[in-house]
Amino acid sequence: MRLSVENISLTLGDKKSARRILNDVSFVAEDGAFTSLLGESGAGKSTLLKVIAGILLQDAGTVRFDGASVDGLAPHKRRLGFVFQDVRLFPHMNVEDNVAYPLKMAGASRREREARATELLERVQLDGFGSRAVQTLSGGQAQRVALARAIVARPSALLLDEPFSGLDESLREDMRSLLLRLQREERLTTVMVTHDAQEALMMSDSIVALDGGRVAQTGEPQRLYQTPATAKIAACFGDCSQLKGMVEGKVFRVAKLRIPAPDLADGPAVAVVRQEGCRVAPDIAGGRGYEPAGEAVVRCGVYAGNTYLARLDAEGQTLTVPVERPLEPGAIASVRIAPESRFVFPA
Amino acid sequence: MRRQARRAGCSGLWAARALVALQAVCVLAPLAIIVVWAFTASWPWPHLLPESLTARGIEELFGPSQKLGEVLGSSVAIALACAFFTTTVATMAGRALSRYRFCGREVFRFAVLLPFLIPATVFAMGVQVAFIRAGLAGTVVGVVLAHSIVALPYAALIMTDAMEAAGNRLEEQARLCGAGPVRTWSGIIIPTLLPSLLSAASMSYILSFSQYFLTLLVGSGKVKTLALVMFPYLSSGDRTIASAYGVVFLAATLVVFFLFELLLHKRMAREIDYFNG
Amino acid sequence: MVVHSLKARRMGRAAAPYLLLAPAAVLVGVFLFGVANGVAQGFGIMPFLGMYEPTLGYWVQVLTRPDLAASVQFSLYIAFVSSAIALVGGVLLSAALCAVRQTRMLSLVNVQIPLMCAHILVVLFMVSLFAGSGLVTRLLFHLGLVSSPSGFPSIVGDPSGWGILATYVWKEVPFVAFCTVTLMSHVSDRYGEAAATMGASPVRVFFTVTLPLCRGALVKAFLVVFAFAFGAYEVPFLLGPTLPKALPVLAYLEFQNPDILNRCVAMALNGIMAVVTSAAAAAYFAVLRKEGRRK
Repeated sequence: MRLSVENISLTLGDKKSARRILNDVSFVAEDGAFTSLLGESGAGKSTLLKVIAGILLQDAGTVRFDGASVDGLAPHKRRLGFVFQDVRLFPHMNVEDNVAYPLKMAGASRREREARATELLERVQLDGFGSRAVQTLSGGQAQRVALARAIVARPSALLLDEPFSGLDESLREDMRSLLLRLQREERLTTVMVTHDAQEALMMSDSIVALDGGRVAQTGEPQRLYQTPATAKIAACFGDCSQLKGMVEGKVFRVAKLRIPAPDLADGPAVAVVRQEGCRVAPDIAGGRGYEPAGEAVVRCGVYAGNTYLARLDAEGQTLTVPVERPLEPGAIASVRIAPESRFVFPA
Repeated sequence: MRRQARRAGCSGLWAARALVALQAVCVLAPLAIIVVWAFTASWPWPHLLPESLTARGIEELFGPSQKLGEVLGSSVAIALACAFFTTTVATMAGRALSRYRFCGREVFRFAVLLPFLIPATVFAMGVQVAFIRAGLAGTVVGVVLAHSIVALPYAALIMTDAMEAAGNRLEEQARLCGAGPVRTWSGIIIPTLLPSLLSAASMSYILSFSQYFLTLLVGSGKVKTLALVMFPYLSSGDRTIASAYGVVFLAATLVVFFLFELLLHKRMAREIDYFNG
Repeated sequence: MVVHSLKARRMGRAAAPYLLLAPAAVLVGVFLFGVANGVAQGFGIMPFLGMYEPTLGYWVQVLTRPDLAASVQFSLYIAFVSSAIALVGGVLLSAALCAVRQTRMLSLVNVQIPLMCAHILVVLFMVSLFAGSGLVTRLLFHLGLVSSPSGFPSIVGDPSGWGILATYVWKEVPFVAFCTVTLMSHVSDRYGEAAATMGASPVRVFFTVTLPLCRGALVKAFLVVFAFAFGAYEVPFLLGPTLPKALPVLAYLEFQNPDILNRCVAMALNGIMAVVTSAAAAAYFAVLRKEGRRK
């Protein structure tokens, strides 16, 4: 199913404390594709997911499933699968009844429900758990039951709201590959809300970056990574430094650092520098894609396991650079930055 | 220093235990005494124990002169009707107050509690004429209605708190699993709210069962409840009859309360507390 | 068509709370109608007798009667003393219940059974304990403190109203505990440990953390008990002195008078009760508003 969201706006709260949560948001999730809604907390991504599900009513705009508007449909008529961060298994039913619940609502026969629930439990690696009480499950098991329940009735789309953020890091990797496998097998149009950019990169066919209730950028993961539209998007992938400075004559300047900014007019700007594309002079003797970017004073150095990090001062702001040996505080370092790792945006 | 603090904590615990025990004695002693009195034939002053026992009191109550069976039946029926009606109304109100933001919400929240604060005596005397003119005075329906008004604040408080605590997590999930409003209520909301529903119902039952003044005025003497027929005996001399009434009254409240508890436990037996666990 | 149905859903959601509240609003409406009707009758408005002209005559009559001051005073005294004792006792009981390991049995005996007992049943309890032939006088005789059944101040009709107070205390101490115990155990679990790590003793934790955080619930419970004790009829009728009579007893006496015009007098007396309890209601509303803001 092709899911399209067109010009959705929504204001929540009473008159006095009213807040515009969503502001003219549009995007398309292609049939069978995995789409991530990426943004920091408060960006409006969970709200948007609830609008798609029909739990919240938008003030303006339309949600379409395969081109047909579903705005008039109550949530239970939209045939969706939904996984919440807080799992939400029904406490008065056992695992199998939880999984089979959507089938029951769809009017499936008892035998069909049992067969399909058993199948799904097997596919989420919980065979034999059917008669267990949901209170006895671990966090990861519970989330797998929720996942099975969400897809059991062959929904037209699967919506997930931060499904893994309640789990331990060690479990998340397994859950991600399980989700992707199920999504591919069922060819499910999937929309997942996440604040974890790395997660979005690894899982998605397409990412919608939200900021302050607006769409900041949409596209394939590579596009967002390589040509981010805003400083926030640039900064969300991996470790990086953000520096405020001025653009003068197509060059961004802060302290003695210089970063080319060929497309920008003069004025205040923000530069984002990814750590992995940044070095100091002795470590890499020119060439190999690193370009000189001026000098900075070493404020301090820290040990980071596989490498050392030098914190360089730029008018009170910090540029963090991986170095092979710890640098003396107060030393002058000449900085080199790879072109694909530096971004300058107007402030 | 620390040991001193611990000792203070310990003595505090003992004081707490003593207080709880004292309260238990204060509650149970009078219960025991009226049970003894109900079966006492003679207990001359100043003996600490009765001289002889009899079942006369209880027999007389259910005998042909008092016909208590009928009164007891109608009291229980009225109280059960009140419990059901009040709980339904309170659940709807609690739903509105806990789930929706709307104009006048605070005023409604307070208005529902008014029968808590303005005495039922004022209401009863004021509404009597209106009930007579509406044909409700002297009818069971009128009495149930009046009792429900008095019970509403308790039930509404219980239900609003419960629904606020439960939140809308599970019903949202049920809707997204394809359950319509009716099946969300019957399959998810009511089962998970069952403990609160039962405590609202048993509270309403008890309040209805204990009403005297309101039943007197609204029932116009035609609707007889246990509280009504018992009342004159409270100040009369026959302690055995009065206590026998008391025992029946107590039993009728406790039995229904324990039935509700049993219902709850049967239902909840396999569940650990999900919301707090 | 599509826009229309989104609008329909929105309207449905806007109407839902009012529809859900409708039955409760009808009940509260009947209640307020009854109270207003009574107050109106106090001003001589009785449409069913063709009396439409408001007058202050009955209020004047009531306010100038010699026994009124004593009655109001007696009712206020009963209400204040019983609710104050209930408050202190209820806080102590609630704190004690929080301190000991709570079992179902304990809360049943300590709180729920008293809640279940009707006031008239409690009157019977108190009479069985404290009347001339009651168990307590028997015990006192054996201790040599009393020599005859009449050697003990009578529970019925004593001008101090101690029988009424005893009944209300027995009934309302658990009520106050019931209103606070959940919140109190929650508060002391949550903040008690934090305060204890800062070196506060349990008693100081109780007075500086637990009690202030439970204040709203306590004030509300106090107001409910006060309003009830001020306006209830049964207990003062059964146990109260001949003079002064509690306000509700006096009002019902006038209400029962064969002369229907005495109803206006009764209603004026009810009006006094309504004024006093409305003040309690206003205070309750203020607490509610304050809590609402804090949320």
